[in-house]
Amino acid sequence: MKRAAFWVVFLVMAGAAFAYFWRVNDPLRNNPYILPLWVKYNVRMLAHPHPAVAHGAWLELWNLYFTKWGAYQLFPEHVANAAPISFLIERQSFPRGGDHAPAMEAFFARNQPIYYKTERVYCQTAGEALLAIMYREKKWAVDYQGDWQAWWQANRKHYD
Amino acid sequence: MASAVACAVLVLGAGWIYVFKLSPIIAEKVLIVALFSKMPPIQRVAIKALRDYPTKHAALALVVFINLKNLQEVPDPKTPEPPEEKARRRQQRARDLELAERATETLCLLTGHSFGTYFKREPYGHSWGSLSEDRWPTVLGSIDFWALGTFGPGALSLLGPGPPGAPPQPAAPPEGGGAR
Repeated sequence: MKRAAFWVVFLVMAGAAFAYFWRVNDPLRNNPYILPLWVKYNVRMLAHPHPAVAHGAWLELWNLYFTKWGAYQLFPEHVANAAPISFLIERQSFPRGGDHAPAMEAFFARNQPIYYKTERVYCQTAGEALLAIMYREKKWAVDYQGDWQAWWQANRKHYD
Repeated sequence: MASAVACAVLVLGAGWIYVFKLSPIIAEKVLIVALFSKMPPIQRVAIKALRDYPTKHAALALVVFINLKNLQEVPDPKTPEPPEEKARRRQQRARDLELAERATETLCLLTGHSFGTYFKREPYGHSWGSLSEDRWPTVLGSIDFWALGTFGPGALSLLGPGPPGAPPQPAAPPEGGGAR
């Protein structure tokens, strides 16, 4: 009986400690060995048939790209991914917001299916969805002209 | 030993479903099966539930379901029909129209197109409207045109619910009248 009680208390406390350290350290985004797996997993989730799930993965990748150098360096490995996506990515224009905030025409994912009513479908594959994250007006040597792979070939030497 | 293996398989399967988020895919497939179950109450529930699954397969299933209702089919007026048979057919037709109407409404919500119907999406997710039977051929033509443009061979064209300029005209109805 005492032995069983010990194991119950031990396992509960170990679980609580694990959950605490997991939340504090966030190893999915911070551990250099787990981060590539997390990026790969989210790239795979981009091709999930349900738009809400795929949209969540895209937002996670967006977050990783702009906050973690480790993820930034991993993106070029996945731009050739031809898996079809199920969610809609639309282009949005932002006016110039000041000297250090240039006008921007960025791409944003929507929690809608790719066949939802829209003026134009910009991205159809997971690789194109990643390039849409990487795209920033005025940052690259050549602007996007309608072909993501051509844009990437023209700009990849500036990616560092 | 066998039960341990079964438990391990169960745990691994549940873990697989959780990690790769397969539950929406499974639920969508179950709802598509329910949609074609030929039991109207179950079909009604499935049509409504499919609003939460805006996937390609759900949209295709709804298009096929609407087409299979075949509301333009009319019996040969020369063939004698007993009154019981006529009443049964009318009942069946009213039920089919109602199901097709609901499926069209769901398809409108999933795609953002109206397909020539009066369905409107209000704030807070409510919708209203109805689809009269005489408009059915036009609506069916619009749905088929959209489905071909979106899921047909070639790139995702998304031309809209109908060809630019003129609404699609369905094939000529068989002799003896149109939808009515």
